[in-house]
Amino acid sequence: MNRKYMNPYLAGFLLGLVLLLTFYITGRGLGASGAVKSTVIFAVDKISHQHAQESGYYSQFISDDAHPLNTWLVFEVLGVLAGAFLSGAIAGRLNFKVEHGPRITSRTRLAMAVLGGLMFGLGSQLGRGCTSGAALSGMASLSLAGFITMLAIFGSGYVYAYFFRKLWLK
Amino acid sequence: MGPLIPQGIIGSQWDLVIALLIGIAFGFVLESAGFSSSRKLAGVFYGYDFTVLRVFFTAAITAAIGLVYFDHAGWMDLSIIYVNPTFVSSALTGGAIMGLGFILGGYCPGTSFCGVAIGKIDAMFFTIGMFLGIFIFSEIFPWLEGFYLQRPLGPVKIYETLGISSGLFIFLLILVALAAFIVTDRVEKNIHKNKK
Amino acid sequence: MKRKYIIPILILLLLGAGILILPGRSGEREISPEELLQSLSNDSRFWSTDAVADKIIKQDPSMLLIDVREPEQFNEFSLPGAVNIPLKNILDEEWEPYFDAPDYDVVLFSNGQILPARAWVLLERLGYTNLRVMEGGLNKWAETILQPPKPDASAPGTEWEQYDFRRAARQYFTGGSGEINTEQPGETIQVPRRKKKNVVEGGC
Repeated sequence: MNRKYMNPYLAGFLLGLVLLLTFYITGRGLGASGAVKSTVIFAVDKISHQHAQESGYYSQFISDDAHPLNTWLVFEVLGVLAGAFLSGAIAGRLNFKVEHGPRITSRTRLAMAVLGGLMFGLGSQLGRGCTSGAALSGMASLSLAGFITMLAIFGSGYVYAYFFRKLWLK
Repeated sequence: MGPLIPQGIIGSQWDLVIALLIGIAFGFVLESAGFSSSRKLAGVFYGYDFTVLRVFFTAAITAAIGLVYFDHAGWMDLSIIYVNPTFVSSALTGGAIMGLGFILGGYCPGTSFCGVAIGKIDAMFFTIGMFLGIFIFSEIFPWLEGFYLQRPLGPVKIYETLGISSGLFIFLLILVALAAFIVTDRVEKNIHKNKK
Repeated sequence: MKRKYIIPILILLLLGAGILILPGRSGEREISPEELLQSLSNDSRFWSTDAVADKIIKQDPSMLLIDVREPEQFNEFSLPGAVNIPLKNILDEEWEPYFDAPDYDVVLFSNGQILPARAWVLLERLGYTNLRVMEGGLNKWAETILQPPKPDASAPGTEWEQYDFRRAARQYFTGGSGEINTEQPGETIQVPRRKKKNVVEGGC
């Protein structure tokens, strides 16, 4: 059913070129979780402007003249959605489904997905960026933070992997 | 000479158009590599699919090498690109929490968007979780602030910390990557053989 | 390892070895002669003595005065708060934080205009964009601020305003006596050290 994926090294090379181009044009790397942050800030600011102003975290990112959704990363992520949709459409991978390991139900998978997302949301804010913004872009610019974050994500992942193997393995 | 936007060579009104175009390329490559599938992503932790490591490492090396040569050719001023600042405690803890998120959720933020785009319902739930997580973080931020700012090192580069030249570091990184590619290739083959 | 990977691996190693051989860049870059010419023809690098006096009186913290003459001359007389960096030492690493301070206007001056112009060219080539030269130097300073010529009675009002300002400035700098204030300037100003120039905001 799934058409073949691109050779991983070729994909990595192309991704590296996209990243390089991004650095060349914008002076910074790619990102993903920052867009979610902008959206959260936007929502909180809409619901309670006062609360957003008072919070030590939101207020760093709110200014009266700049719309919180009008940021680079939000548009980049809209592009990611479009680009992934395009690739999926070309390869014939578009369909609604829940992908899960053979030993768990869809319901468990979805609960774990929410929990995982929650953890990633927390961690990406604490670690100042996610796999794309902190680890990948950070590694390309040879920043110490990039390497620390990358090692922490994947290093800890291998530790947890043993305990949660039921989620993914047969 | 790049970077173009910070130096005003491309006007900032093009900023968002470029963001959209770069995003499209980013998303297209991620999805083509198979990053829209959580089982494929999780494979890196169980040894049955090392695509993540291959794509990730190749991309980082390509961009790192490219940046050095761009800088050398005078096309780009490497000294003004953004280097994310290092805060040791929060980077380690944040990374460890993200690692847990990766195992539980099977995605990271960028790849979950790819999953959402092609209709993966688990990816959509992951994104919802992400919103919640960032919201919770913002709400408990006053309580975390001290830790968040602990052990700051500024925007340091890793070779400065190691005390070697950037060239030597990139060269070592290439060797490490090649070694990792060869080893993971063997591991993956063994695991698949054992299954059969 | 499959055969098709041999060529990419070789290219990768070659590029990596290339980086090893490349001479290290310090991140500082000389700007091209064209760019230099362009900024040379840009008059905004000259600050009038009035502008400098005004900023000194207002104690504007964003201005940094650099006296590029020799220490003996500097000790005789200089502007209040000026830092002495003789032209021949201007590229010493010790002084780098004074110039690599994008939030400051760095004003170079000497008796005339030749020394600071040289200093300006030297520094501009290193890519600093915040450099100014005090027009006419201390000679002009003495002419305009310390002994302002009285305009004609028929002169336009703006000249009179300028004259009033200069008289007031003279009072400020000379303590009203008309004598040059002999108080030793040159107290060191703490300039925050900045490592990177206008680093772009980012994040994930």
